[in-house]
Amino acid sequence: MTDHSLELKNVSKKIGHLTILGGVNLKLDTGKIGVLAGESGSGKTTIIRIIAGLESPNDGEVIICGKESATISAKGRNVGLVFQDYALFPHLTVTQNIAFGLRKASNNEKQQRVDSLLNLLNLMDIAKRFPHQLSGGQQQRVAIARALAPRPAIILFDEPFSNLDSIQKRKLREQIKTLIKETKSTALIVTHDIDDAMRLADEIFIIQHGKVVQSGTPKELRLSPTNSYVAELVSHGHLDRS
Amino acid sequence: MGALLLCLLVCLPLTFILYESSKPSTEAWQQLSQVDPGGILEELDLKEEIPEHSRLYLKTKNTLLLLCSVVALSAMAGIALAWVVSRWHFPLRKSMSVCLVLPLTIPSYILAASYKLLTIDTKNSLAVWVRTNWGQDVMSTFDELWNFTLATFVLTAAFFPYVYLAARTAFSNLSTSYLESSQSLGLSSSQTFLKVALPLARPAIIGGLMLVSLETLNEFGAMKILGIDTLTTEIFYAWTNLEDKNAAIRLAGCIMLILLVLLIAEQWLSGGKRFHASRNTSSSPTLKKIPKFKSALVTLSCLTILFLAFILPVGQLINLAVDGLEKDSISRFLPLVANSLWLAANSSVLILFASVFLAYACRKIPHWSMVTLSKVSTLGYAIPGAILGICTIAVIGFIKNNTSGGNLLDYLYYGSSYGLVLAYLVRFLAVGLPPIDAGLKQINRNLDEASQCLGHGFLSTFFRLHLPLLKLSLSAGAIMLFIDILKELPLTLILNPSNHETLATKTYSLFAVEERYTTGAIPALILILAGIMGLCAVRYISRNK
Repeated sequence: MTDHSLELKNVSKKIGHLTILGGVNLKLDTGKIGVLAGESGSGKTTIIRIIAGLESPNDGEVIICGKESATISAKGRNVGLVFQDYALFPHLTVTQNIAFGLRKASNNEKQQRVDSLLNLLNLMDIAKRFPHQLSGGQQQRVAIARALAPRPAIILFDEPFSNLDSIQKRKLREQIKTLIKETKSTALIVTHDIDDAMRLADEIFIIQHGKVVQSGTPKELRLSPTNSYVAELVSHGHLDRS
Repeated sequence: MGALLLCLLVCLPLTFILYESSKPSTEAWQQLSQVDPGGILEELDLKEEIPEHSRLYLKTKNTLLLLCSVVALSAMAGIALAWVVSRWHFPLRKSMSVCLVLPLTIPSYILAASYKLLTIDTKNSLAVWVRTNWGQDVMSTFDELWNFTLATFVLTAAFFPYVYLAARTAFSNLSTSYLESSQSLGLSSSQTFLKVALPLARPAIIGGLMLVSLETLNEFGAMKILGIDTLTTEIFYAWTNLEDKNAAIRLAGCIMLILLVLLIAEQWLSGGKRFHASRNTSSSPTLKKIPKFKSALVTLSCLTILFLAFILPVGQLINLAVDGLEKDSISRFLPLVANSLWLAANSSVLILFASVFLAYACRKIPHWSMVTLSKVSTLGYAIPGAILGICTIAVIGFIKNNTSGGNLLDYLYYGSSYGLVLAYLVRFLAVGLPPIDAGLKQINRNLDEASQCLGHGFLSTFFRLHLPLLKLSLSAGAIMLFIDILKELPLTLILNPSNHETLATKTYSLFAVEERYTTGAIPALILILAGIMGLCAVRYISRNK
């Protein structure tokens, strides 16, 4: 039996008469990095919002660690989400932001977990700063640490590199990859940059018009694209044509 | 459910006005609305005694004339001052920008009393001169004209800061590039102001003018002191002199009709014109340098307005209070201060609680029905205090007659101040809600979702995330409510238990009923001081934000 952390079965989402997702199927194994790649408006963010429990699908199943989760609220789903704009709480310091999700832990446990994440993400020096005192890259790392703190079953990243310059982006891409592998987490990353997808992913899911049109390893996609759209994407690099 | 209850609480007085108006009219109403009620004068063949117009016609005419003059003058003063302060460079500009809001701290009835006293000698001398030269009839006309002009001046001085504040914010947020591109297209400075700046600031200015209109219609104390009869003073006349509830409520209906027209006009004038003008990237707009003579003239004009609307009346009150303190000890007013603080503090807390509840409900359930409920709940501010007070008493009477809970209602509304606190809730929800709503809107919804994803539920997110982030908005809202409630007169006069006088009711009674100006100046100055301290606190909070 395959050990899937995440499985979406025929997930669909409609807003009024507009179909956002038209039966998305997706499987991601534990410890792997999956990347949802597609153009703006293709439905990538809706998929991760449904996985996080922030939106409900009209139809289909969301299975997290073998448990059907469509009816579980975001609060009880144990899924970490790193927002595109980081969504750091402005009135809390870096330490307090990271500890925010450790509600049930004792003070001692909290302290240990926060310290280990501060060390892991190289945030020790800025632990007492507030979000507005941090650079974009530092904010990104705090957001990742905060999402990782409660040890989520899956960690979701919504366009994690969109607000960073190319040098910061390259550095952080490597950091995220190492971190996910080190912590043996399962991650699903949304991006419109095929270059990011090819460098980060164990498995890429190409989304077009609310459907997964092809999935596979970066190599598989490069060598045997199933249609001209995927072929053009993987050869030209950038997906966002908007 | 809670939002629906608040909405019903606001709608109750309005519904009661409609209900009472549908009943057959009473004798008192006929006295007010007809020139010859029952045709008695005609029957007695005293046709020459029949007045040309009914009392209702005259009061409505007075109300509308006053409304138009105050709105027009406030628009002129508010817009002009806001434009020069936000766009021109002149000496004392920064101080003027702040100080021109100060007239808001003087309740209009205090300003009226102060000006009545300041001008009484001039008026009397002129009246004698007019009577000697033109006779008694002309003197009566002169007297009416004098009072009307003074009332217009007093209300303009008291309310123009509403327009000034709204216009100043709009002009300051206007991107300089709009004005520069207009000038590069060949338009002069005045053409740019009229064709670009003014239309872009129109929704904000109309909002400010609407507040001026509501306050003018609500005005009771200043009108009584200056001897001007309007529909609002007529409500008190029908209620206390004629002792007729139906007539008072019908008069309230007339004011509500004027309000309805104003609300429709506001929607029509600004509804489709909610521009989203991009803001200047710099923190403050580029100020235009003007010639020395012009800048001296602008400073002088600002100083003159500030002198007339604030410095002169406050100076006069200080002068009176010094005399007053020789006869009365300030400790005499301490129970009044305590009563006022108790009322204002309790009411502010209740209103803030309701405001947070409504704003939060709208955030959590962003459905049109919830937004509508929230908007209807704030309509109470449009109901003048006198109307709200009388409708509240009428509604209680109606409930008492039809249910068995009379004793509790009697205690709530006549034996304690809790009824008044509830009435304040209806009237001032519109003051408390906007800062909270704006504060909540500034909190990125992603923060709520991040909190949810981190395992926090509704209450935990509210207490750990929203409440700390709303701290400044809550403080600003609390201060604004506190000042407004301290100053509120007509509603307090009607609903306050007789043994529970406040600073506002005592000041009014000392000025308007007992005409003890020196003693009245003491509570008046305490009210103004509270207002100034409140404004300073709001400014401090806004800066920290």
